[in-house]
Amino acid sequence: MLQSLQKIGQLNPVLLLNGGPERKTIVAGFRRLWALRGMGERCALARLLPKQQYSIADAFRLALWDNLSHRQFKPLEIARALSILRGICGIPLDVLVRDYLHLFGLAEHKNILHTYLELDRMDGGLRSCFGDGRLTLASIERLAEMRPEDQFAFAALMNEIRLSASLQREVLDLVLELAELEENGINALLNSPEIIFIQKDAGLSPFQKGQKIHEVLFRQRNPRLSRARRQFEDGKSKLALPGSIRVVPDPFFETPRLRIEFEASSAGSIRELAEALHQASAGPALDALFELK
Amino acid sequence: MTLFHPELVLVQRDSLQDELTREIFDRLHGIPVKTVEDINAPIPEQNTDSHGAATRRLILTRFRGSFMKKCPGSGADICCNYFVINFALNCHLECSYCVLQSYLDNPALIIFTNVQDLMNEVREKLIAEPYKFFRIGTGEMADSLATDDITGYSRRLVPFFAALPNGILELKTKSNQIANLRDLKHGGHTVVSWSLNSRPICRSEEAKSVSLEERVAAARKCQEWGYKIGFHFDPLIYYPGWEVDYKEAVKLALGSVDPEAVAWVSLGALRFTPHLREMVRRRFPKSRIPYGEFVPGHHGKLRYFRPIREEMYSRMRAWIQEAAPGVLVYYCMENRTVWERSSPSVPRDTFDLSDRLDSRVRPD
Repeated sequence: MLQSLQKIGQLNPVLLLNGGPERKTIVAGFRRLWALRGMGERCALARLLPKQQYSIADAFRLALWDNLSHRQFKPLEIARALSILRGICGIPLDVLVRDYLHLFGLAEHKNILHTYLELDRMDGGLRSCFGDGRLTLASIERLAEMRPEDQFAFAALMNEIRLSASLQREVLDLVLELAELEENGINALLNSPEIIFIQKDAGLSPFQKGQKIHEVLFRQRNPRLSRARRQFEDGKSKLALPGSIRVVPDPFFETPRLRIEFEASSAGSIRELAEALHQASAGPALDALFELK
Repeated sequence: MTLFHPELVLVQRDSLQDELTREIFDRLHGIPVKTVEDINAPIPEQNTDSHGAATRRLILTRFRGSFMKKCPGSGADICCNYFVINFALNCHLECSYCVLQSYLDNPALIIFTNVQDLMNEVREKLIAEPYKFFRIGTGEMADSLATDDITGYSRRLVPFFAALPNGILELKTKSNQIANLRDLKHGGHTVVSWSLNSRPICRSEEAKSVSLEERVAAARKCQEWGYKIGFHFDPLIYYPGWEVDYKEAVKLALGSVDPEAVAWVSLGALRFTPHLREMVRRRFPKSRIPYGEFVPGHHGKLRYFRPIREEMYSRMRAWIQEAAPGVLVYYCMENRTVWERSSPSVPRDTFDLSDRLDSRVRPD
């Protein structure tokens, strides 16, 4: 913009709401005025909007259209804009859905509007997590249903960790269900010593912390399944099989069936693997794999 | 128990010809009746809690399809080989875990009035396979007896089955609506069964049904009238302290009746689809049952992690055998692994289990 102003000057006037000789409010053109000031200009082309004819709501709509004409809005800006259109300008929800959502490149659906309006009301920490891509819109939708103090606790957690989109969904499921189950609330759950310890562990990357916290929550929500998985992994390691042999249980241990997988590129390597399996089958560790407690 | 008192009866014009319709009108004297041509046309309140609306509306209509079907028994390696006839759809008792709330989208309780068609179909099917024995229940899509004071269905079905040489009727209920069963000529061809649960679960999750004690008292009365009795501990629900409560329930039920007259006891651990689980969370926010340790199983249905089911079945089985040695216990919708790990006697297959159940009720 600075280069454009230096080469060809100001093409479009800034918009000012004229409240009298001493009271003029910038409606659109902040960046232009800032750049002109930086160039040492003392005058700028402006269009004065009589305050008697333009309400604050009218002024906001003008500013919105002016911005939409030359740039894309970020999600948090969309949330703010929709919130102002609803709250200050008093535009009905159905009109916002029909006439405004598409301007921001959003699908015309009341749920989308609801999510963005909730986003604007959310804890600042969560808004910034969403703004820099650490939380998905789907996560925001679910977090919107939480109490403010729970949102704050989740934002504090997300400042320390990173979760993929699918893990976000799982962690949120676990958090909501555990809070219901244990009746302690989300805040207490996320501030448990084990979770805090992982958050503060300087030896872990944010993604590793996310993974570990997911593991803790999963174990808490599914204690018997987690115990069975540990028991199975322990038993498997006692078989001392070569890494090229995979021992896979039935999903969720619904039956005691095991699948043994390996690949070999020669008769010799098949003999070696068969021998390893033969040796493993001789000890009690194999029987233990079928005795799920 | 909350009795069914509809605020409005919608009757399809075709149903007006049926005797059952007229009888129901007599019993619901004073309740507004509206005749409609098409029962599927939208009716008010359809967008509200449609399952909840079953407590307020009654639809009388004729069923045009096949009344008698094989029970799906989905996911079971060893199935009980049961048949169901649907004389009604929906239930006003609104148990929190009930599958009907996710299965049916009827904003009313529906009663099929062409009972003669139902009986003709059953008779034809049983005559067509004279060497096969049929166990047929009416409790899949509705409670068999909870609306019997209004429909009087049992007064038609029980004598009808008494005359069928190769079939028995199972009436499955959580109610104590047994008045119609007294003095009926059942000929040993009707089993009256109660779905039972622990006292806390009866109170919290089956709140509109009668108490455990009332169900057991009704069972004892039916036994006095010569009926064979069945008990279904289904769904078994796992919660801290379940052992004490379920042991008491088993002791109460099987200690109150003559074990000789108990046809069978079935066990089935809670299972539901993810959709149903969400519905329970939404419709019954105080219910704790959606928060069990579930894993996805056959067709994506959620069930307790297998060792939990095995533990529940093993212990229930032991308490049942202690209270009533020799009573036949079977599992509903379970896989072979669970049978093998929690039962001393495993049926070879569906036919074997079916034979064992038939032998409990087949007239000599």
